[in-house]
Amino acid sequence: MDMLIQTFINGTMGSLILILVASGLCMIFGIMHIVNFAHGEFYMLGGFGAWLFFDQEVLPLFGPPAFRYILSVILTMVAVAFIGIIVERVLLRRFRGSLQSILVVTFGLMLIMQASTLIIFGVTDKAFSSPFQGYLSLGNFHISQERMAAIITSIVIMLMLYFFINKTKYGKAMRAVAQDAEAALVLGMNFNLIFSLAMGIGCALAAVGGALVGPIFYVNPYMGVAPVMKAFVVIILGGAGSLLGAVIGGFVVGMTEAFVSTYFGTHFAIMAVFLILIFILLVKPTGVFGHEE
Amino acid sequence: MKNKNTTWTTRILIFLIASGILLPMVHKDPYFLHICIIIFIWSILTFGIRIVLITGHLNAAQGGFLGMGAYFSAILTMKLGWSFWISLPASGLAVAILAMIVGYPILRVKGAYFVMITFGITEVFRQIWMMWKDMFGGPQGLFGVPKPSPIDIAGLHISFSSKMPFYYLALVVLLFTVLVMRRLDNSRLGITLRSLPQSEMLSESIGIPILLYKLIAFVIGAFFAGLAGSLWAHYFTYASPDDFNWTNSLFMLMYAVIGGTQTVLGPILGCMLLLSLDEVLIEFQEYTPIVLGLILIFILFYLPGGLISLPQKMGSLLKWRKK
Repeated sequence: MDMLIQTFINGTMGSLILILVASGLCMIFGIMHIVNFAHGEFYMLGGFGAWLFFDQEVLPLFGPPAFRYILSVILTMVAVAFIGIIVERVLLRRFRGSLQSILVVTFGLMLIMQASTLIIFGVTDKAFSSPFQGYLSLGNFHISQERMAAIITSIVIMLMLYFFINKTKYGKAMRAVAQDAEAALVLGMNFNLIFSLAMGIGCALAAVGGALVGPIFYVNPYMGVAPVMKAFVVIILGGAGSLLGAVIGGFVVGMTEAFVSTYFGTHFAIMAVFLILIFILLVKPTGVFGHEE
Repeated sequence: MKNKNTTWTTRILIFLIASGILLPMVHKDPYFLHICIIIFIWSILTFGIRIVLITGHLNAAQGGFLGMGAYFSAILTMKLGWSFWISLPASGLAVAILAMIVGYPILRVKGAYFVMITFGITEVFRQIWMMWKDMFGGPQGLFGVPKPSPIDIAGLHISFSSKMPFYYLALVVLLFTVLVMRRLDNSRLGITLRSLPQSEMLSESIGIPILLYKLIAFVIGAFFAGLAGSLWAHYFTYASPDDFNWTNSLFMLMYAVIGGTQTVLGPILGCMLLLSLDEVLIEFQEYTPIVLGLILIFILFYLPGGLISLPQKMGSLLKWRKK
C-alpha cells in the first residue's frame, strides 16, 4: 500500500513535468503545425539555466535561497523564450507548412544545440540541489520538499497558462489561429506576432520543466531526448492543439510510466508508453481529442 | 531537358561504379576501405528511407528495421548455424515480412502522426531487444557474430578475414540496391509513388489503391534495411541495441535530404559527402554535429532539392545573368 502511494506521488510529479513540456510542444504543434524535434533541447537549456543562475551564480542575485531559486527559474524561462523566438524567426518561419523540411531543420538544430552545450559545459552530469530540502511526512509516507515544490510550481504555471489562453486577447487569438488559420488571417490577425508568442511560450514551458527537474535529478546535454519522446506521445494521445488533451495525456503517460516501471521494470515502462501510442493512433489516427484537418 | 538529365545521372553513376570497383586495387589502405564499407551500408539504408520519402511519408522505423535485420542475421548464423550467404537474403525477407505486418495498419496514419508512430515502433523494437536476454542478448547485444564464410568463385578462394572482400560484397549489395531503385523510379509504380504526395485523395479517386502502393514502398524500404542490417552485423561482428535507435532514422533522412531525393544519385552523394566529412573531422569530434547541422540548414535554405540540384541551380543562375 505504501509503495502504491509512493508510486502515485512520483507519478504525479513525473506527469506534471511531462505536462509542462508537452503543453509547450502542443502549442507549437497546434498553432504552427511544427513538429519540433529540438523541443527537448529547450528543456535541456532550462536545466542548464537553473544551474547557471542558481548554482553557479552567474548573475548577482540576492535574497534568501528560495527567492533566488524562483528568480532563477523565471530568468531561465525568459531567456529560453527569447532563444525560441529567435529560432522561430530565423530558421522555422520560412519552412512553415512543409513537414519534411521542418523535421530536418529541427533535427539539425537539435544536433547543434546538444553539441554546443556539450562543448561549453562539458560532458559530466551537473548535480545541484534546490533550496527546498528535507521531507514532508504525511502519516506513513514521505515526499521530498524538492518534489513538492516542482508539483506546486507546475500546477501554478499550468493555471497561468489556462488563464492566458482563455481570458486574454492574445490567448484567444492563438486559439483562433489553431482552430482555423485561414479565417484568422482573413480577419487580419498578426500571424508573425502570434507565432513568435506561441514559440516563446512553448519554449518557456519546456524550460521550466527542465529547471524544475534539474535539481531533482541532474543536468546534462542529452537530458532532453527522453522527455521529448514522451511529450510527443502525450500530444498525440491528447490530439494536436488541445491543451486539455495534453493534460489528460500527460497524466496517462506519466502514471503508466511510474506504475509499470515500479512493478515491471523500466524497459516495460517505455514499451508500454509507446504501445499506448501505437494503439491510439491505430484506433483514431488523429489522437483522442484531435479533430480532422 | 529530362532526357539530358537522366543521361547525366547515368554517366555519373557509371563513373561512380567504375571508380568503386577500381579504387581498392590502387588504394589498399584498410582504413580507407573501412570508410567505404560504412558509406555503402548507409547508402543502402538511405535508399530504403528515400523510397518511402517520395510518397510523402517519413519512415522513422527504418532504424528499427536496420536493427531487426542485424539481429535476425546474427541469430540465424549464431544460434541456427546458417551460412551468411543464406541469412543475408533471409534477414532481408524476414524484415520485409515484419514490415508488411506492421505497415498494413499504420500506413493509414499521415503526416506528423506517421513519423511519431514509426518512432514508437523503433522504440518498441529496442525495448524488446533489451528485455529478451536469451534471444537478443539484452542491453549488451549479441557479440561474436561470425564474418561471412569463405567462398570459392571460379577457382578463387575468397576469405572474408580482410577488408577487401567485404568491400566488394557491400559494393555488390549497393549495386543491386541502385539497380532496383532505378528500375523502380522509371517504372509505373515509381511514378505513381511520386504522385502520392501531390494529392492522395485524387489518386484514390482515379482508382489507385494507395494503401497497397504505400505498403509496397514501405516493404521495399524495409527489405533493404534488412540487407544493410545483415551486412552491419557481420561487418562489425556485433549487434547492440544502442546502435539502432531513432536518431539513425533521422541521419538517414538527413543524408537523403542533403543529397536530394529526385534521382538515385542523391542518397549516394549525401552519404559519401557527410560520412567522409565525419572522418575528416574526426579530431574535432565534438564539433561534427554542429558542422552537420549547419550544412543541413544551409542546404535547406539555399538548395532545397539537395546536392543533385546544384548543376540545375547553377545553370538557372547563369541564364539569369545572361539576360
